[in-house]
Amino acid sequence: MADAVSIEQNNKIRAALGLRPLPVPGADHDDSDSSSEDEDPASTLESREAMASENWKKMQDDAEAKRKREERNAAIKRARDLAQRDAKLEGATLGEAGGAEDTKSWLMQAKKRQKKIEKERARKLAEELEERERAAEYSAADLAGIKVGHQVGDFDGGEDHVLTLKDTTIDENEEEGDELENLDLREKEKATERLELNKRKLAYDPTEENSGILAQYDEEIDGKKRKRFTLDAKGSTEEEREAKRQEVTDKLKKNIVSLDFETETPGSDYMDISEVKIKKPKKKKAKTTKRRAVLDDEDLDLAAESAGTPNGNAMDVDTNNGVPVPAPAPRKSASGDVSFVDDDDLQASLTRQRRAAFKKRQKVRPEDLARQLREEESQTPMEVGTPDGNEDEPGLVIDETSEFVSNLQKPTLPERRERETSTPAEDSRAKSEGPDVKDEPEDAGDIDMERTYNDIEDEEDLKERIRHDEAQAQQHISTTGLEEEATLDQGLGATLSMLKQRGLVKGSDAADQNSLHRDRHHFLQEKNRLESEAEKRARHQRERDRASGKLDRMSAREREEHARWENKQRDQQDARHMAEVFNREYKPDVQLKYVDEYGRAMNQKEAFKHLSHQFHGKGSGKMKTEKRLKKMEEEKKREAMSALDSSQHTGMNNAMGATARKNRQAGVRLG
Amino acid sequence: MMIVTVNDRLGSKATVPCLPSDTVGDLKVLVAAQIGRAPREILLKRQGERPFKDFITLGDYSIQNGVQLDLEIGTGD
Repeated sequence: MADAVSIEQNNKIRAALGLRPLPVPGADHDDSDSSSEDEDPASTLESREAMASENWKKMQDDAEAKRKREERNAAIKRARDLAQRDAKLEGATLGEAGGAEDTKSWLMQAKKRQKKIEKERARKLAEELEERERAAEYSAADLAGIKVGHQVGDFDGGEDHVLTLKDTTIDENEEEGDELENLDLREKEKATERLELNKRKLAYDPTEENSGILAQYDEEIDGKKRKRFTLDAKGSTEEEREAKRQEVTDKLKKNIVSLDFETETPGSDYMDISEVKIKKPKKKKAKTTKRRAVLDDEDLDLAAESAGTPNGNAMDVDTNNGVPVPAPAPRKSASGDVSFVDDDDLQASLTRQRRAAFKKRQKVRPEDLARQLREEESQTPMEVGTPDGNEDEPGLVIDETSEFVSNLQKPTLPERRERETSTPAEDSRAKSEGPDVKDEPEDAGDIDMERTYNDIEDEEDLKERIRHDEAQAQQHISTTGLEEEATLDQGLGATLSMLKQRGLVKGSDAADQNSLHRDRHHFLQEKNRLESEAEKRARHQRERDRASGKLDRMSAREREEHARWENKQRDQQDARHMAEVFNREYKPDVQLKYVDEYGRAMNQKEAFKHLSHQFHGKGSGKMKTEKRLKKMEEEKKREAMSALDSSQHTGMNNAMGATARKNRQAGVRLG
Repeated sequence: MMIVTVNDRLGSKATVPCLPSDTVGDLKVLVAAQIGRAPREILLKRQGERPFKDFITLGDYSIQNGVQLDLEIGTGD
């Protein structure tokens, strides 16, 4: 294939490329010989032979060395094995030992040897025992800190329980440590649990204590609550110890003595429920006239009323007492009483409190004691009123404050006094009826009284009693702790306050209105002043003109013209000035008030409807009108109703009343 | 000296005597002289291997006597 020709052609190409020429097969030998000679100096026969012998020697040496090395290795190995074998055969062999001693000496030494062996055995036994003991010393102390997966109560006293280590995975064991359990108990627990599950309980049991609404999920959230206790070194449980510690601390806490100074706590205004003894108030029956006649000074109200019976005239009573205006005295004293002696219970409790406070103070100053005594003395008679009915006699004067208060009440009294002089009982009735009726029955009562007192003596008792009860009832109302319902007979201020209280008149922002009003007033004054000033100025000018004779020179028409011109000028100036002032100072107060045909003020919505109806010349239909009228009437009724009325339609209970009516439920709200 | 066969299995086949010290570029020139294609359009490779680079010798590619190489068309870069 690659013959010499092709190689030669190739060589030409290679020469052109600048490559090394290929060796041509024909010229190969010569080239190779020359080249091999150059390359290898030991290629001659001798040298080759020499090399060969050398090689052979070398090979021989190598083989020899190898053999020697192996031999040495084998010898070493053999020696090592021998040494190992000899190591096991150290000491005397059976034959050697036996051969060494003779029988006699062996016998002599036999005992010794026996002893030695015995000793050895004893030592070994002791060691073993010790070891066993060490192992057996697994006591309660070793159990310290080990948990037991049951409740203490689960272990009954009498029986033995064998606790085994709980079967857990390695992870659990790492996490929780060793835990002991009794298989029987565990089985029992599981059984009860299964039974519980089968019971199908309600999720939420309201009767159960200390459980939330979603208590059934507690187990899922917090994990199952495991009953367990931990043993300590003495075999008792740590829980027990904890309980004991708690007990001790409790005991210690009981005997804590505070070194702080005792703070003075004011006595409560209310009695403790346990202390309260409800005394049923005895009905004070105004029994008979006989009794009253005997005990004149028993009750002043009674006295005043019953006094009419024997004398037959109210006026006589007045004169009897010999005081100019005697009848008001009881009333006044009664009202005075109200402020100090409300009722027996309250008074009693107050006295008790005072006494307690007094005891606390300990330092008893003589004047204090005296005052206290006086107070207590004065209170007891006051409950029935001042005996002689004379207001000047200060039976209930405690200090200046009460005097001041009682003085404060005076101004309202005189009007009443006149009425009361005639008939105190009648007055009490009148008071309940209202202010409007008051004047009318006054006179009638007078006449009535005279007649009845003279004519009907038998019925008097009954009436008296009724009146007395009424008066008492009224007094009770006033002493319930609520303020007395305001009446209209005490002046404009009282009326206004009552209306405000009921919400019928809205309390406006008085200050703002006042200032507005003042401003307007001021503005008007200013305006007047300016006007008068301008007028004065005009007059002056006219006079000046007249005096200067300016007018004399003019004809009548001219004079008129001049005057008109001047007036115009002046008016213009004034107007300009006024406008300026107006702009500067005038603050308009715009109020759009619409009043309907009944005189009620309409609000925006109503006013719009009203105007709309007027504009279209057509009002609402019959139903709507009726509804509106009804609403108005109700409103009026509500306004007239008492604020203290506890029925359903008053201001506070309105919503409730409305819903009750809607639901068609009857009922009265108490309290 | 060794003889390398270059074959593209489409009809052009060349046997080239060369030395292991020749570079692949030289071989390409020799092949080009035989098959009449520009040396830069020749791409030589062993079957299933990457193409030979021009500046590396045949000895380095461990090309020996009687080896057959694949001849493909190269783009010259």
